[in-house]
Amino acid sequence: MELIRLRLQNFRQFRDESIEFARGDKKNVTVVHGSNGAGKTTLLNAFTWLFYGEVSFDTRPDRLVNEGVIADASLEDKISVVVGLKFNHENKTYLAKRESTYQKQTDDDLDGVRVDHDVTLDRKSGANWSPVNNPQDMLTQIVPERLSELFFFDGEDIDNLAGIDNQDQIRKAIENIMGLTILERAVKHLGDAAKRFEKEAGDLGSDEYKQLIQDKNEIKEEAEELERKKVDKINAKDQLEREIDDIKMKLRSRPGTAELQREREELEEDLKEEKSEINQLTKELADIVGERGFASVAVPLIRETAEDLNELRKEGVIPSELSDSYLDDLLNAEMCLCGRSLSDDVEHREYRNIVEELKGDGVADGVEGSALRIIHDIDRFTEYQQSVSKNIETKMEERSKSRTNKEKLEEKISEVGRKLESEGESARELEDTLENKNDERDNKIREIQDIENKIKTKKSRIEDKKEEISKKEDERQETKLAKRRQEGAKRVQSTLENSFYQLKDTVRKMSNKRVNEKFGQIATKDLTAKINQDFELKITQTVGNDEVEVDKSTGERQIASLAFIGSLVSIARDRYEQDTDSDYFEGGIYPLVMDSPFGALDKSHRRQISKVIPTLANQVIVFATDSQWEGPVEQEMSRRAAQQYWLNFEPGDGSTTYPKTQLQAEKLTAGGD
Amino acid sequence: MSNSTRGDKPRNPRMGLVKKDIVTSLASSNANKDGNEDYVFSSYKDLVIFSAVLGYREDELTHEGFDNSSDDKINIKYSTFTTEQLHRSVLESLAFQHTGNPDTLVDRNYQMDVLEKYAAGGLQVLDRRLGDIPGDRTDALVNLIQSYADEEGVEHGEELQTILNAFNEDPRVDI
Repeated sequence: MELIRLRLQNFRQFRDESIEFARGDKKNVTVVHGSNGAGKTTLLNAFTWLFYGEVSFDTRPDRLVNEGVIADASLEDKISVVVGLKFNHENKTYLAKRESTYQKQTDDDLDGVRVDHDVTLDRKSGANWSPVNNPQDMLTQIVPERLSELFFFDGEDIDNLAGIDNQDQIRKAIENIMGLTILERAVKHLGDAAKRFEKEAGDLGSDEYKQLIQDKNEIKEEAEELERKKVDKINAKDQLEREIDDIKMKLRSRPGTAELQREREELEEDLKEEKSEINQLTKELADIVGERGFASVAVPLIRETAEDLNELRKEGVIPSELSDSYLDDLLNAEMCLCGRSLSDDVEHREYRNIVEELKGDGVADGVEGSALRIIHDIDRFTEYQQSVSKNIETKMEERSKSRTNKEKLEEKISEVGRKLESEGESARELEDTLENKNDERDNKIREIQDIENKIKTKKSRIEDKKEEISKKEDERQETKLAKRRQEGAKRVQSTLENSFYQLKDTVRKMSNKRVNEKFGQIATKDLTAKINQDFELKITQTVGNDEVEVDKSTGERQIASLAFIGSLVSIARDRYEQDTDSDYFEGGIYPLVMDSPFGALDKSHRRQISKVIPTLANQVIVFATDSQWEGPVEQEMSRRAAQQYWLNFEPGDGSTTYPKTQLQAEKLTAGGD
Repeated sequence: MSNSTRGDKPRNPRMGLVKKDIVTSLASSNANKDGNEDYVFSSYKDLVIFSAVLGYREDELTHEGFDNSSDDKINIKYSTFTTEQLHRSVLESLAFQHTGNPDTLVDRNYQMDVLEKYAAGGLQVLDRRLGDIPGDRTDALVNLIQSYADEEGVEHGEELQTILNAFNEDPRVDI
């Protein structure tokens, strides 16, 4: 990122002021001169407000609106506070603008209430500007907020960086520059996930599963018990059947009785046959009636019609000639309607010729054809009538015989029955026993069927349970999965933790190297700056073969701190230029905005710092008081400074005039703080 | 009833035989009589023809029993009857006997109308004679047919033979 121009409107004590930033290769420093309270920190805050909407002021932190403007405004007026920044980023020019609109609530209200707020980011494409979607996201992407403390740098912190017990700040800075905070958060989240999976695994208890298996086994036992009962019943049934056979045998073996039994069975067989014969004959009679009965009944109708038509023909109402087509049909069929053959052979040729000679009169087919057909059909109707009558007579006779047979058989059967009955008590007893045994056996068969149905039900219930168990087993698989996930999360967590420490150490080493280089460029010989494993920024001196930590002076500490900052800026730039595919931090080119980096140093240290500052970043903006600037700083930095501004501050009286700072490109008044 | 009126009426007229008990108990649309059903007639068409000749025989005419607009009816087309020549002769003879006009021999619509009238009359006769004892139906029909055959006697047979002989003697003149 390269800063081009910053414009402030109604922002704190600035009414409408702008700064153009130095952008040269050599002359890359912009100096803003201003006494304490003139607005240097306000300028630094303008950057953070623009990028993140955040400010930190020591005095009246809630008052963003220019006091003079809000004091003069009426209650209806809307006052816009605007910070705009034009900058280059990745070969494109942008214009970022944050605008808040305030309205005062009472006449003496100098804070106002914010009624509207807007952030815009426009990108230049050719000669046109077009708005960027999600301007806030884009701005925080260009300068991540975690890096803002490093690049919008309050000089008062410089002393602290290399101070005692400030390894936290160093470590945080290192973590930030590499995006390692993201990694740290991931490590924490993985720990949470592991705990959640552990709970999940615990919830999927196994009590239900055990109960299901118990249920299934119980039903299985019940089914097995039923199977045993079934076998018992079958055995009982078989026993009964054997007994029944025995009784039958006994009955048959009795002289007389067996004979009668056999006779009765034979007679019953014959009766069955006779009955089916009668049925068959009746069926055949029905067929005769259904198929040809109509012809028999129709004979008078056809006869009368034939007679009438013949009469009409004689009277000439119906022509006696036949149509050609009708005669052709007869000749083709080689059969006259009277039944004589019309074959084209010696025997029939004479008759065929007679029929052929009938052709030629050209009488229309239709009424005549029908009439002739009906006359001819008499033959077939009478034929049918005769055959129907004959068939009916035959079938009726047969049926009558069968019926007589049937009656005789029935008589014989009842006679045999009577004889059997008179065969004495023992036989009847046996018959009774047989009957009872038969009943008993039938009962057993029903019981067996009953049991079989019960077994079927049990078996289907077992299948149901098995299905439920299999479902539970799936859940158990889920439990195992949850446990595996828990272990997995823990493993990843520890791996990431290791990577995190390794990465952090790598960055520490990188920083250490660069700090050492930078520090070496400016600091007194024999002194080295390093960031140790505890992330402490130390300055050491080589005495003989030993490295001894020296009691740092403020100046040396500040130099070491700046060297550290510079090292981070260059690490970010290197990563950006290396075009690495880092998931955490892609790097970037950042300007360094430093508020009062000189502190209260002596002249020699100020000179050294002035030498190093322009080398820290591509673009450096330095805020300084006149007293800090004068002398060695001015001598060292003037040639690198392309732009210089002076903050002209007027405090106002608070009732008619209000604090006001003007930015001037020329020094108007000479003077110290 | 000549060719000129024929075109205004359907070439293949159909009748709507209402499914009365006497109809459904004697015939089935299922031509297969091998099943358990004791139907006398293997098709509704056969029942209609039998009823019609019976109606003619008993001189009983009505239209009751046929209704083309009925929801519960069996449709029978003219062409269904004419597939059997003897059925066709019955249709034509009935129409002719009803009017004495030979033109009715070719008027299909009129033939169907007359067939309906006699068939409906015949169904009434059957209803009366057969009663409602299913077992005796075949025998009742058999007796009916046999009693008619007895009525015919020999004399009619001789008369018929005379007409037939007249046709056969000299086709040039008599056919």
